[in-house]
Amino acid sequence: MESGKQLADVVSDSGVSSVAIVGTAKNVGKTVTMNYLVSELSAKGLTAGLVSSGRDGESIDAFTGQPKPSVVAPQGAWVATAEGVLRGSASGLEIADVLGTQGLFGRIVLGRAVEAVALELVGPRSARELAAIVNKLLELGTDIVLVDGALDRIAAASPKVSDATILATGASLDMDLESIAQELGFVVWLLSRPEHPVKAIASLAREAVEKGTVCFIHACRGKEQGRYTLRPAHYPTVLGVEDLVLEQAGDAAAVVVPGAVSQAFLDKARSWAKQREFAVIASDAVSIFASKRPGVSLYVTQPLNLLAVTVNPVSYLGVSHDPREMVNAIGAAFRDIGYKLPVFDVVSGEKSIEGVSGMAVG
Amino acid sequence: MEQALEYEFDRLEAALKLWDKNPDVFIEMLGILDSLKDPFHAIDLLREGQVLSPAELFILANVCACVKRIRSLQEKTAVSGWPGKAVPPGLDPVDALLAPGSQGQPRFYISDAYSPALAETRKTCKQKQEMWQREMSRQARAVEKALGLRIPGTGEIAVRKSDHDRVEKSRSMPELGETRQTLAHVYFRLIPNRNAVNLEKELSLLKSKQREQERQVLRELSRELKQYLAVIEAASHALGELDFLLAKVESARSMDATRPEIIYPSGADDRGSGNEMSSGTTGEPGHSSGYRTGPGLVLQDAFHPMVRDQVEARGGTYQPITIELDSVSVITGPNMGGKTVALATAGLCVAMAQWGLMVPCRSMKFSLYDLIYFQPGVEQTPGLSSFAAEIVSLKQPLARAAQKGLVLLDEVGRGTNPSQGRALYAALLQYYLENDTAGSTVVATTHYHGLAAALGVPHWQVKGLATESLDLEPRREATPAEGDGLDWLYRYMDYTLQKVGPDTPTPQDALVVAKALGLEETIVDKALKFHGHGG
Repeated sequence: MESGKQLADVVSDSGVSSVAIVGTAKNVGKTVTMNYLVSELSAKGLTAGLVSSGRDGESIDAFTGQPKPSVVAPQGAWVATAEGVLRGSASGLEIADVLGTQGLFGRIVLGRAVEAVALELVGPRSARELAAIVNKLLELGTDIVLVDGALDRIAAASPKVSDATILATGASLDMDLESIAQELGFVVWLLSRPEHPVKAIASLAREAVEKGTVCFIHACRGKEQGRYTLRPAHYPTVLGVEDLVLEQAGDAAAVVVPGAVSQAFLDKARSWAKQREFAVIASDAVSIFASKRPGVSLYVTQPLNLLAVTVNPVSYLGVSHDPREMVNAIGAAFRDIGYKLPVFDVVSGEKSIEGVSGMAVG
Repeated sequence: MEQALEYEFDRLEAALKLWDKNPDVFIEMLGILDSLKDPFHAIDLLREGQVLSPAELFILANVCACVKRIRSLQEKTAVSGWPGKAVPPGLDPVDALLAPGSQGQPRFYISDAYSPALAETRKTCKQKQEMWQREMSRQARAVEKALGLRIPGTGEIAVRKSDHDRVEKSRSMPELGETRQTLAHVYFRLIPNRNAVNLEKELSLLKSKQREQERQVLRELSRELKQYLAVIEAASHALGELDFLLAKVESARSMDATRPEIIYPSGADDRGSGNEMSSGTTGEPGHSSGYRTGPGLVLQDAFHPMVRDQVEARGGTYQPITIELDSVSVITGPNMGGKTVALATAGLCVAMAQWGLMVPCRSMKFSLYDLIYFQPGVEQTPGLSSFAAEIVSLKQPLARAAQKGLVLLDEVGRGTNPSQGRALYAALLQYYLENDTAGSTVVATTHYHGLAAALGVPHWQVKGLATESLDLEPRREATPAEGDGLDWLYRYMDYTLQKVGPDTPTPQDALVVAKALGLEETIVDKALKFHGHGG
């Protein structure tokens, strides 16, 4: 168990400059993972940057009343947080920027920890603002930015914001180990959606997402066989017009949806796909709102780089699993569906590494 | 008023010249102003004698940095060329207060340089911290050695319950305290020994002392900064002026705008000179304006920037308008001929000129107006028909008829029966002719025939669809898509305004336009027949 890579090694070896840590639920040990990573990465001599999407790191968990560790920024690390949660003297922070937009807790302040500081992280909620802050932190001299995806803020994992993603999960996801593993298998499947295997289709899909219009991709016939064309559907979204969009599909090989892809659309696309080869292409996995495997080929134009999964075997309801059993069960569940993802419990140190590269393969 | 506006235009012109000479400087200035943070909240706090937070102090440091860079650029281009209001005073003493010993990018930190006492506390804190760390590490190493386990970064050790010996051993170690148990593990944490506990107590006291000393620094700094309030405020306002000036210069450059010529009001002796357009045609005693020296508004090759962008975006060529307006004038023209755009352009040019902005035209002459009224099209007002809404809206300029207005009327009366609508429009214009003493300019677009002749006022007309194009079939069968009829219109419509005789008939292009826009051909043919019979 002491041999091989730890989570911090997986992150630092990946060479990415920003990592989102997103949780599947509340109390899955996201903050523990964050603290573990920031201290380990700093120990490796890397300058870490910390930012959150929304609010996190309260000393008491606002939902459950359980004590909750706040984030400790080691000396030299950069943080971005709202001025409202910094104590009066912002002690220990050298302020290098104050952003204009007012949030619930005031403006976002960017600063460098002159000494180790424990603080709350409060960040913006929009992916666009978050991406701007990540870039600012990198400009200021951060080696790697850790983006804390606050509760249900999976947008932190958007490729527009972060280069890579760590999925934090735990006992609070579900009570029994088998269902946890199964549920996680689905989440990992979803977050690992690859590009369309046909290069020409993948490239047209990127073009369609840039256009911001729902588009169909058709295979050319006759002499042009093997080539594809893009046909706009004149809808910016599929929400509320699922049928209208699909009725226009004709003999399309795929539909590209630049915005949110709903479960309703996937269900309808599945019955459509029964008659022919048909794929749904979303801009990224974060834009897909599915609760189960859709039964239709599902691809993205910007795949997420899922590095690892962390587990917290203890839930606030008092349910606890054996960390080793849990880590192994989850690792095995991934292996069963064809994913080689390392699984860690950063508290007990248990891990299951089937493919240490940490790259999700579609 | 006029002088103040001329002064604004002088400043703007000088800045435009400077830009042409030093484009790089301007680009750099725009970048600096882009990085500027709004300092006025910090300024308010200073004025009220409150203590500034580190974030507010950073913002002031940022202002100092911007001022320094802007001033050096202004010096490089000779300060005399810059309007005085847009040259910020230097903030060196403020900068020295905010950034003791720092260089380069603006940063703010309550550094040791502010207070020797604080520096001393921090130093002691650090020493005690290190001592505590050493104490804890020593203990940790001892535990790790005894148990053969590594203590992870979280500081919590998980020992498997199945490992009875280790659990017992851990429980017996005075250095470890049991924190919790789960199904499979018992968790332990290091318990600080007496030395470490004493250090923790000391550290806690030192930390609160440090916080208090930091707050003290903030209080003193805020008090010291207050004496520079006036200069900080002046510099901030100057940066604002500069930002506004550069924005005006940028917009003038982007649309190749020009400086308008302002006609000054003068005595009644000038009355009538160069006023042929509106003089002596009605025989009514309406032209009693006391101080007009010429046409109220003269526009040469004026354009509406937004409409021009749209036209050019679809690959068309924008046709600017040239028009002289005074007292009351009538504009006629076909549907889709740009009558409303002409009104909007006139209104926009005057509004921009009065705001001190360069105007989108080749040349413009005007005298200042007290109000601009424009209500394009029919606004939907709940509970009011389009006609009622129009009447209610018209009460606004009429209530201010004693003031000099630019009154832009777009097809008044179009929502009611043609004969009464025409009568109402004529009466409204007549009212202005008879009662306006302030020198207002009224422009009225219409499809009504003979309005200009009835009132004896100048008549301008959109050239419209070239006669030869009228024979052209808008090739609908060849162009199935919706937008193509529009393209045909855009291609054959001549938007030029020309002055015509008062009796020149209004264009009868409605049916051609309807056909071009793809209305069912049988309907258009029937309409032609009806129109022929009805005369």
